[in-house]
Amino acid sequence: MKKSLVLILIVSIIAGLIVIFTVGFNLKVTTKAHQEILVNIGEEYKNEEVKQLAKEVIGNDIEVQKTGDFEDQAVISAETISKEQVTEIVNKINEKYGKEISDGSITINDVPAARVSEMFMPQIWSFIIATIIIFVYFAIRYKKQGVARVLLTAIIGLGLLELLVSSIIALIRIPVGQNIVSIIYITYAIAMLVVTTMFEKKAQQLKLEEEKKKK
Amino acid sequence: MKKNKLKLITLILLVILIIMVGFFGVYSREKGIAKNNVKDYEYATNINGARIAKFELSTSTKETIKDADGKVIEDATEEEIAEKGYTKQEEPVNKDENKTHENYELTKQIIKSRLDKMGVKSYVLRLDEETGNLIVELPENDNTDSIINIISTVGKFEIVDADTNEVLLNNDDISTSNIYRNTTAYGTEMSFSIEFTSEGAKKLEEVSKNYATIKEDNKSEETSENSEEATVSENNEGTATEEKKEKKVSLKLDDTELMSTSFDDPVTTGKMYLTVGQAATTSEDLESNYTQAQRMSTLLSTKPMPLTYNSDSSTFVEGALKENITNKILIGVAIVITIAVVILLAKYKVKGLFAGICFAGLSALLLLTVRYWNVELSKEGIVAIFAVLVLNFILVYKMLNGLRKEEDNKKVETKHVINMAIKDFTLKVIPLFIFAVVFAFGTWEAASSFGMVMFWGLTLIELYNLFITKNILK
Repeated sequence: MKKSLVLILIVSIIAGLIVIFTVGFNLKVTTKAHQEILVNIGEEYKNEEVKQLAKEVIGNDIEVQKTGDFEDQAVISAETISKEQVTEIVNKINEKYGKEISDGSITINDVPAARVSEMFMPQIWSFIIATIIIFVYFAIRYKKQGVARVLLTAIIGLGLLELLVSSIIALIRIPVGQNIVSIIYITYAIAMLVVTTMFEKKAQQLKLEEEKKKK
Repeated sequence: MKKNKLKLITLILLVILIIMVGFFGVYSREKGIAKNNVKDYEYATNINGARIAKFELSTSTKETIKDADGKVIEDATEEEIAEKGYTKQEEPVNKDENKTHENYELTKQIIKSRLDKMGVKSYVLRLDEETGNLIVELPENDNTDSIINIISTVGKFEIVDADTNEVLLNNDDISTSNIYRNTTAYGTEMSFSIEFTSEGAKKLEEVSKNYATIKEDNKSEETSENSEEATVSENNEGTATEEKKEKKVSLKLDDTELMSTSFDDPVTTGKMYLTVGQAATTSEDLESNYTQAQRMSTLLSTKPMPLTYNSDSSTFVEGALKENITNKILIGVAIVITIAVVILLAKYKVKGLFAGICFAGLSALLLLTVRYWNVELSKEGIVAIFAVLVLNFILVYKMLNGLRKEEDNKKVETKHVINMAIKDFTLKVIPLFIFAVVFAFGTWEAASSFGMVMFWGLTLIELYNLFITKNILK
């Protein structure tokens, strides 16, 4: 059971890495280069309602955001938006809200991509500092387990978990955007928790053995 | 026994009160309208929304006067142009040869450096590699307009000879610039430094000697040095004396003169300090002076942009998650609490119910702490809330598990079992605590939000379970 689990994990990581380096991550629509239109609805609306209308025309991969002083305008983003789709969306909005918005006044704007790495890079120093302090703590608290062994386990544990999570994200095509930051944080926290639990367990075992020897 | 019951009832009532306040609030009537007096949540940019500023490469032109050799002449009158045979032509501010991918990337890096220098806690930069146009997403606050203005400025700084326009020092000679605040009897002065590189410092020292202020006492003194700069005048007594003409430098930003001055003393420190406006006595003046000082300090600390951009439009766009976000969080937390209570109740019956109430109490207390500690909740901060709830569930579950195991062993006290569970938990979350503290001090909004929520969450788990849950389960 344990062997088959390890095998599944290794295969997942390898497959994930192949996907990452060949196809790449499935980027969220607002992260990759996309197009957007601004529709002035002229009254308060619910994002979900407009999103539903746009989905019927464009498909699932869209985002709707409110703008305007009265939050009565909608920015609809999708990978590509054609003029025909604009007309269709506007017709649907007119029908739903009883408006007479003209599609002629709506321009399709190109929005360049945002780099996912740049979303993460400003936090790199926090990660480095936190990791150094944690590793120093590990080295002091678990020195009986061997400093090199402890640090190596921590590095491998952290690296493997981050790799595994990245692979799963790539394999099951979770849309990646700024959410990558939360995923990295949580994976890091879980990795630290798992590694510390392992070390604590070992520390208790060593303590018991020492007590037995004394007796 | 009676005392214990009273303590238990008091604690449960306290927890229920926390739950009511945390989840539902405290309402009062104001002009007939019910108003929640509990502080609202504050949201970070990735929830609240951002100002989207579009920067387009300028297509404007500027008039250039050149002499017969093609040398650019800074300034000339129409007569001079005609007399000296200068030519006047319109040139684009962004020449075609400068519109390269390298310059687009460089511009993006300069904008990034400026945003970092100003301490902008969250931003997204999007570069259109074909056109060079940029889109910058910035947090919406009182400084946003000023930030947009600063990052769209070319920032070419020069110290030139006021008469000849010879460039004496420029951006290449500057290493950094900082803002200083000095409170005097007349108000608060705001100034910024110009700190030069070692090479720049040597140049500055030389310049400060050559452009020294001529003091009144020395004005009529004869000078043998710099005789070519000296003029001859007659004094009142009719005797001819040599009067040195004071040379001045001009400080220019993007070819616009900021000030013209000379140096009282030679500058040997490699630093210049310039005061912005007059000493401020009102917060508005102070804010205005600070904005100006920040503008200069930021531009001087970074390279000038290789291209000129126009920023004609900027719009605030609400975050896609913002709509009913508070309700979404509360519903999410309520779902987690329900699952936790059902599991605890099914497995540990009455004790499970009490533990479930305590779990709900901690969740409510965390939400209150987040609000009153002014934590700006980002998506990462919200994720941290749920992570804290999961961690608390693990601890509560361990406490109850420990209690069940020791039920038959009457020698072991409930208090001891719970203390051991808390101790064990604490040892395991120390790395998370370190992680949370480091991130709480992070300058990036997402990191600090996550760190703050984790820090308060872990602190509350320890204290709340030690003082509330332990006493209720005991």
